[in-house]
Amino acid sequence: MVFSLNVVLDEMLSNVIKYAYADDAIHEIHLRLSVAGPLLTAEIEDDGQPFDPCAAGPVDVDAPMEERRVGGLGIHIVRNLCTDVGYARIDGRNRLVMKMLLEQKTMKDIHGTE
Amino acid sequence: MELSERKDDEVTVLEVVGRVDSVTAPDLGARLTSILSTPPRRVLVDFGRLEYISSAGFRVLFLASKQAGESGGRLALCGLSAKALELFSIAGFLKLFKIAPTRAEGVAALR
Repeated sequence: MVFSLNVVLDEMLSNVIKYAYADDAIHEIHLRLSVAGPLLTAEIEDDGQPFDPCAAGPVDVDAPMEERRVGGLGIHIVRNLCTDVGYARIDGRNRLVMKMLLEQKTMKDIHGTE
Repeated sequence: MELSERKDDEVTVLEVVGRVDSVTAPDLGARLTSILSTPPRRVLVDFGRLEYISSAGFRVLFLASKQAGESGGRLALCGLSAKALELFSIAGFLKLFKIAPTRAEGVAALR
C-alpha cells in the first residue's frame, strides 16, 4: 500500500511540477489525503495550465518493442493501482482525485483480469 | 540512488541501490547508454536492493533496451522484488525484458 501510494503520488505530482507551469514563479500544490472505510482518497489540486491526465489514450502494453511508445506509462500505472481516477477543472484549478483500496489488492482482484 | 558497476566476464553488472524516480532516473539512463555504447555491450541490471521505481525509471530501461536492440547489445534484469515485478507487469515490461531471478542466472543468460 505504501509502495503503491508512493508511486501514485510521485507520478502525478512530478507531472504537475514538470508540465503545469510555464513560468518560474512560486506555486502551491495542494495534496489532501483522507480515509473512509476501505478507501484512501488522494486529491491533488494545482493552479497550473488545464491538464487532464485521464484524457491520455491507453498504453498498448502488448505491443512489441518496436511499436511501444515511451510516454503515457505514468498515468497507465496510476490507473492500474487506483480503483478510480477523476479529473475536474474547478475555478481555474486542476483537481485530480484518486481512490485506492487500503487493503493490498492485485490488479486481478480489482479488475478481474491480468 | 547509487550505482555500482563490476565486470563478470563479458558482462557488466550494474547494481542499483535505492530509488529510481524522476530525479535519479537520468543518471541510470546515462550509465546504461555508456555501457551499451562500449563493446561487448552486455549489461545485467541488478535490482536486488531497489527500493522504489517510477515510470521515469521504466522510461530509461525502455530506451536502453531499444538501444541494445539496435546496436547488437544485450540487456537483462535480475533481483526484482514482488512489488517491483507487479509494476513491471502493469507496464507490460515482463515480456520486453529478459528477467532472471538471481545475478548468477542473469550473467549466464547474457554470456
